[in-house]
Amino acid sequence: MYQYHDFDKDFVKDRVSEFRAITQRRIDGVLTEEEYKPFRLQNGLYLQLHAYMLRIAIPYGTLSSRQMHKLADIAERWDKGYGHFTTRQNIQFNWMKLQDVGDVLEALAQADMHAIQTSGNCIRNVTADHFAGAAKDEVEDPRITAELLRQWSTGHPEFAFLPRKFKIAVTGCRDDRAVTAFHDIGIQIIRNQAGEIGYRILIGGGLGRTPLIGQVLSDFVPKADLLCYLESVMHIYNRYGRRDNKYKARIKILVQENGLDETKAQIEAHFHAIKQTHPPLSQALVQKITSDFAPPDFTKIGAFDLEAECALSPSFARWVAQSTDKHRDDNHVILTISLKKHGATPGDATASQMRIMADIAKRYAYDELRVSHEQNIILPHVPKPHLLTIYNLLKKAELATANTGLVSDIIACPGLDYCGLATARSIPIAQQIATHFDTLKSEYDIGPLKIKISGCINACGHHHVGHIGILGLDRAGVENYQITLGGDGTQDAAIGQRTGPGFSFDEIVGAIDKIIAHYLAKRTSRDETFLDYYKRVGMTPFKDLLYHD
Amino acid sequence: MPQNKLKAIKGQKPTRFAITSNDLLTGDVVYLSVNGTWVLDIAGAKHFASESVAEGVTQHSHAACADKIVGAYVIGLDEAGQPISNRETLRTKGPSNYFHGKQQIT
Ligand code: SF4
Repeated sequence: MYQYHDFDKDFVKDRVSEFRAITQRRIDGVLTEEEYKPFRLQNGLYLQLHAYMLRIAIPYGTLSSRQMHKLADIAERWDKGYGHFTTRQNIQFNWMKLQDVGDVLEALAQADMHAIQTSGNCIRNVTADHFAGAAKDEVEDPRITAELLRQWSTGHPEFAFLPRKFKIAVTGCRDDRAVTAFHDIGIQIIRNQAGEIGYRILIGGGLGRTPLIGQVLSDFVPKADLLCYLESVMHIYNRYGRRDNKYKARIKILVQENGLDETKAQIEAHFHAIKQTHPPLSQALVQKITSDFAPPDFTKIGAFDLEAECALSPSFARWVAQSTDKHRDDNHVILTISLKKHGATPGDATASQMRIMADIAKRYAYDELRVSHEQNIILPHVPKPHLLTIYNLLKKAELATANTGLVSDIIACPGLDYCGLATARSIPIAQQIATHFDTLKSEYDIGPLKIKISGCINACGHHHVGHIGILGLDRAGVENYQITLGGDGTQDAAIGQRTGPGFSFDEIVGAIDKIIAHYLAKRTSRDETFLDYYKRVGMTPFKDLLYHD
Repeated sequence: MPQNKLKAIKGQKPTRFAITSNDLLTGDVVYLSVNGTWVLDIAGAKHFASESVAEGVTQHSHAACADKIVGAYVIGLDEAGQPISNRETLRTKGPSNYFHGKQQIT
């Protein structure tokens, strides 16, 4: 795993001192809130409905057990004993006090963490496939590229005041778990016909009030050119991105208004103009980062008959089937720990749950954890012989819900329960849907189904790419929920289509139930997933049953 | 149990107004009281019959207390002195997923 160097340590330490000094000036009344606010936001500190919220960066979603322990300590000492893992692979603490934040940042710095660039119009935390380094079909670990981009973009003066925030996601696989098509820049690591590794670059994707699927900016950027190429993208965005209207300021609008061809021509002209003088990518640096992400020695684990072990316990077998994915090494699996116990708040973990996950990772899984954008925790390398022990430990901590990828594995943003921008609540809707289908005991029968809920048009809950998306709005003072169907955040990217008028807080679970009951009754077989069914029949039957029955 | 049902009524108009903010140090939701201090409980909030008068007082009291609070603004209340918007109802008590916030204290 990447370790902070002296440079990183000094940089973060300096930022903590700076934060303390400037915050004290605000407390002493020397600075007004207007003067202070941009500064606190650049350090991830928001003021939400009930309290300050601190958003902490988890670069490419990767944590060591030491770091997870530190997050648990923060939750317990300075917050209310829990943290909320977000759809951008970060963690948020909802109950911070201003005078404590300097201490929290110092505690984070001790574990090589910070909250820098988790807000503001800058390049945000670079996200990556949560199965990085473990997936079977991976061309290369995307975290090497993501770390390179983190170093390049952190504190970069040219990117400190962009027209709007800028999000980059990287995947090393064809199976896109990083939602790259819905980022300002999506990067897929690929191998060309000559066998060279490089990058396929998507531009202009995004969710929010104008959902757009990213378009291919370049089919192949050689590795050595990546930073120069992306610098050209940022240059054109900085120069031509709209600053007159915040709702039109993302790069996706620039691409939409000017067209892909013109944007591409501008970027490539700049790229060719600076290429000769652009400092070459340091191979020593790339090698150092690559060695930081060297995979563990998987050969120490021998063959193991997991099927035989599963045969002894149906509940363990179900959990294994639902929570594990194929690993690049046959004697290991990738384990998803669901943070979606039925009725719980999606993405929340208590301090003691964080410690248990950290201890399991340290003892049994090469000391590595990941945060997925689907608000679960991943142990990327789990030796098969340890699975049963891990299951029993997780079960005691209420962390062994076998629902990954099912109807109750819901993404939900904080919504109106916490967020200052929200128009409706998300969390209680997620809780009620999960509880409803758990009571019916139907979620295994329903099969793969992604429900995603946002509490406003900003779409942090990714509702546009939910197989079923729910968008909470305010209609004349009351909560109202619009449904979209057919969204897909994978390599088959699609934006969900609205069914029609929204539903009240009391009606929305019933509406979702109707949709799913219809699917169950009409699918050709269990092999036809909800998304397959929707693609086959389209919107009409759903409209009929929701509005005309 | 934390609050779950919100009682907002479609299209309801406020009959009175109050001024709210967040405490600078704790972030707690506060209300401007009759004697000009900021109090935690909405029951202690000063009521205004006119929104524009409340707006005027907001600017004045915000300027006077800028080192103690963050961003004062006017909220609409019903006859019982309770907020009419869901957002402000949640701010008076706390979130609906945990028994946290003010509902934890009262
Ligand atoms: S989608 Fe809206 S309500 Fe949800 S977290 Fe984002 S800004 Fe807040």
